[in-house]
Amino acid sequence: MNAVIEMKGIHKRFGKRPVIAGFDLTVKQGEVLGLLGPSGIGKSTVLRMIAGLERPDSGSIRVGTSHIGYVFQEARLLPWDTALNNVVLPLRAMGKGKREATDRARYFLKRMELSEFERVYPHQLSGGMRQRVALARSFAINPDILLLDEPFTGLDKDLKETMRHLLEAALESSSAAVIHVTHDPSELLDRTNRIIQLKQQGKEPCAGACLTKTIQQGQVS
Amino acid sequence: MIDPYTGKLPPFAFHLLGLILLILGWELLARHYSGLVVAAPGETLAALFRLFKNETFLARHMGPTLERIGLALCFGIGSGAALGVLAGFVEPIRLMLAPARWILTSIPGVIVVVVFMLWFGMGTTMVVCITATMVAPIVYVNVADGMMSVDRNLLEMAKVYRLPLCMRLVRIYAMALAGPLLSGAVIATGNGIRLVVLAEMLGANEGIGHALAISRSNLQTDELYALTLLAMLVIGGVEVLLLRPARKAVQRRRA
Repeated sequence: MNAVIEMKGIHKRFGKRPVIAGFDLTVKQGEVLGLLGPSGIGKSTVLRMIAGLERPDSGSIRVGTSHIGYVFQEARLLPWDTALNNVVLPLRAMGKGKREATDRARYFLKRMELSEFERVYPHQLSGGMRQRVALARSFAINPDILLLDEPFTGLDKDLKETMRHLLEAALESSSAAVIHVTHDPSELLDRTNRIIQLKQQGKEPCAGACLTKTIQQGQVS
Repeated sequence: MIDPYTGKLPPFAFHLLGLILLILGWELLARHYSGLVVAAPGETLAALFRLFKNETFLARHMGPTLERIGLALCFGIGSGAALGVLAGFVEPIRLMLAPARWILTSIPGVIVVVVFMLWFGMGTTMVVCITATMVAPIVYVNVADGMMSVDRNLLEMAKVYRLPLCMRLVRIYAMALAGPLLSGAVIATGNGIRLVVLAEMLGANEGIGHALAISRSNLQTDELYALTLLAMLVIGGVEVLLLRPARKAVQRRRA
């Protein structure tokens, strides 16, 4: 399969603090990659660079599509728009007609079991529901790449399971390359077929996580 | 009138009580001083009704004043908001506008009136220019500050999903700025109407301000007070009928 993401020799610093040093990554279409590591090690920065929200200090990134779905740690919904309008928004930006965009948004809200809440504003939804709207928004654009940045953060155990189940079900009919960032291995999706563990380099701790690099790659058992 | 659940008077009852006390104080003052100094509330209201019935007053003074207020607020709020948005997007522009903003907000209004009278002469152009110039910085400050506080997370979301600029402006910036813009507009409206009346008083041949100057010269105190009340009613009308409902609508959507 074709690689949809290629990162080579990526270095990134925030001020004087190196966050990513010599990071390489290739992700193929349809692959579900788990990116594991402790907080502050640079996992989210990798996703942000793929999405074009951060630029590397050096190295190259090639992303073979503009259809990127991104589920952030927090839902990032427009507070003044309904759940439906939040899902419709990126579809309209893609040039879809109003009716087509609305139908598609409704379909994905239904898949996220939110049909009854399409006219509801984000502040009237629970945290888990807001994340499901964000998931619906990501899937609605039919993404070639789906970036999941700790999407289960702040949810209780039952809600995490519900979200995981809905996410797995939605991925069944998607050919997107998925990068799922988490610090908790138990949160990884069942269909994860590659895991990259990010670890700190060097013996001395350096104010949290200052040096990172791909250390291990392994298959899910 | 007492709330059966809390056992307290509702807020509007206190507003009403404050108003009654003010009118009582005014009546007492009017009884103590000559009618040439303080017109009684009843005389003021009678003069106000006379003004409303007077077609010449409505056409010659009320109409031009409302027109000037409308034009000045449109230009002032429009230019202030546009510059505020620009300053929010382009940091050097915000820095360059800072001295002008500081000068305009610290200079006394009466000085601006005198200077603009020299530049524009008497009449509508002068009144509208003064008011718009003094109103714009108030709105500018609110909008520029609002631009700084637009949720960066939403802007990142917009970037990821490639929302075009017009969509970002309408769906994110406009909604985020509606609150600060309306707050600025409320203050600007009050200040603007006061400035229009001041400018008309000093340099116009028609308008409420000019009528005020004539009443003062003729020692028609009841009419002077009625015109003051009329200016207050215009400010209150714009705020209650236009700005407050708009602000509530925005707050509801942003809740």
